[in-house]
Amino acid sequence: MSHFLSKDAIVARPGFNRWMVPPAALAVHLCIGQAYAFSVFNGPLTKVIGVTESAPDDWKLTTLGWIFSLAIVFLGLSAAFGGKWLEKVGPRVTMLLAAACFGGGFLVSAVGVATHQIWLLYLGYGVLGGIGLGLGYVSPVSTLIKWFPDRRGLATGLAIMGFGGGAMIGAPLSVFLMNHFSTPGSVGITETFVVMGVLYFISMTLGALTIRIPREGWLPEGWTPPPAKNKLITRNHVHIDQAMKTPQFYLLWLALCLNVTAGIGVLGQASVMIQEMFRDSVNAAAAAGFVGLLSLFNMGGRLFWSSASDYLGRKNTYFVFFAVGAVLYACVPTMGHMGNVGLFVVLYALIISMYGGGFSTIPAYLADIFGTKFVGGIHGRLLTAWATAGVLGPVLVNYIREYQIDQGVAKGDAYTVTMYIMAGLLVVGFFCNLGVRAVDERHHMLGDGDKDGAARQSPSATLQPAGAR
Amino acid sequence: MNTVTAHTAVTPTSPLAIAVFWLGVGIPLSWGVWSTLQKAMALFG
Repeated sequence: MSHFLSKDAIVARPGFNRWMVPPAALAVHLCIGQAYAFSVFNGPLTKVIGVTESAPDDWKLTTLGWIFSLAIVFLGLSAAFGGKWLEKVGPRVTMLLAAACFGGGFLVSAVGVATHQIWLLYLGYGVLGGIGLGLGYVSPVSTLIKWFPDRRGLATGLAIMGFGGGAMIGAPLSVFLMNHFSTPGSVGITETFVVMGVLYFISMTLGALTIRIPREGWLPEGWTPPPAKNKLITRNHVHIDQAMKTPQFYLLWLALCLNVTAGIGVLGQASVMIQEMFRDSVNAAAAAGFVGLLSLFNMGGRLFWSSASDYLGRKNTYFVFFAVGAVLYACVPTMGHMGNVGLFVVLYALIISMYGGGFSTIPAYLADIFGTKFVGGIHGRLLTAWATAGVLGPVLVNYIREYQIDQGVAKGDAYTVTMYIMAGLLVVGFFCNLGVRAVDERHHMLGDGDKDGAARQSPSATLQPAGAR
Repeated sequence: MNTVTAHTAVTPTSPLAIAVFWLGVGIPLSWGVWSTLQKAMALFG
């Protein structure tokens, strides 16, 4: 590997300001967050041939749905497998590869639209884009944790907030570009994909070029690690493969999966749900506004809850998600029956803020439990919980809703059971979180010493997985 | 001697560079938030 790309090349020089790192992470996350806005292409993609309306040979929505599903699956896979590689090669290489995959995915998809070959969209946005998503998501997070040992939650919140905010840029940008490039004979998607692919590649590459890792032993000026009061914040390190052998990994996997399943399930149904529950007072435009408001809370919750976890503690923050969340989910049907739109919106917004907060708090939680050395790889593997929830949540909500309607329940009331089941999932999550304890010493890396300082003085080459003992 | 000096020299990051990088991500994000807020106003309209 060339020196420019190596880990050594990006070790920060003395005097480097750590506040340069969050914008580098945001440059990546604001791009890949576009994935949440992919649905804006669904309508135009069904009219590539017919332009004004779908022609018989045009793609169906069911065919197009696979593009996003593939992207999420490959996000999970690449994060799981790429995370370990990330720890070996460093964030610059991983971010550059993410840029090439995500930007390149758009370009391959543009060819797919131009030639009307759906497999090129599956390969482009689905496979390549999904790999870019996964690598781009995990690569700056562990670096930020190492730069902000005093404010891990704030650091991860800043980056992962960008993933929530990316859709807010991606959606209006896509609409603007499609309007700009559309002609009487074209919906303008090919050109839109090309422009977006190039823009995202440039932005992510700039992030990759800016990122720096702290030198061994670096600590923020004037900050010393506080005395170990909280047993859940370790100063040791657990290897990626060893982390998979601990119950803590699976408890946190379940905690994330359950929080995301509940959130993603109702997020996908938000627009339909508010219209069906408040048929007389909420129209389609207001429902679209409601979804917009939720995306703001999704983004804000990522920064707020993660930053709050620096003071509350990660475990307590997750307790809030599960305990308060379960109550809020259970209250939603009551608000619907009362016809109180305002309270419904407030409850929903809080729920979605905690859904976002779950994503941004988990990397800091992992760093507390497993140490910072391999947190990127462990985080990557834990993100398979997201991919699982991405399938489970919508399926659960849709299936229960359809079943209720088939049983003769009014559409507006069909969400009651769903919300109670979601509340139940959060109760299960509460107990998973309750079960999280400090990792047993036998899982710690050899040569770690007891404290971070000692670990830093040991060359990483001497560190071996505990299993090698 | 020179090598040692080069390795230990402290070169503080320019505040201007920090501001430029934050503006680079802050401006598009603000535009996205503003667009979303405008859309969200339909709920209260």
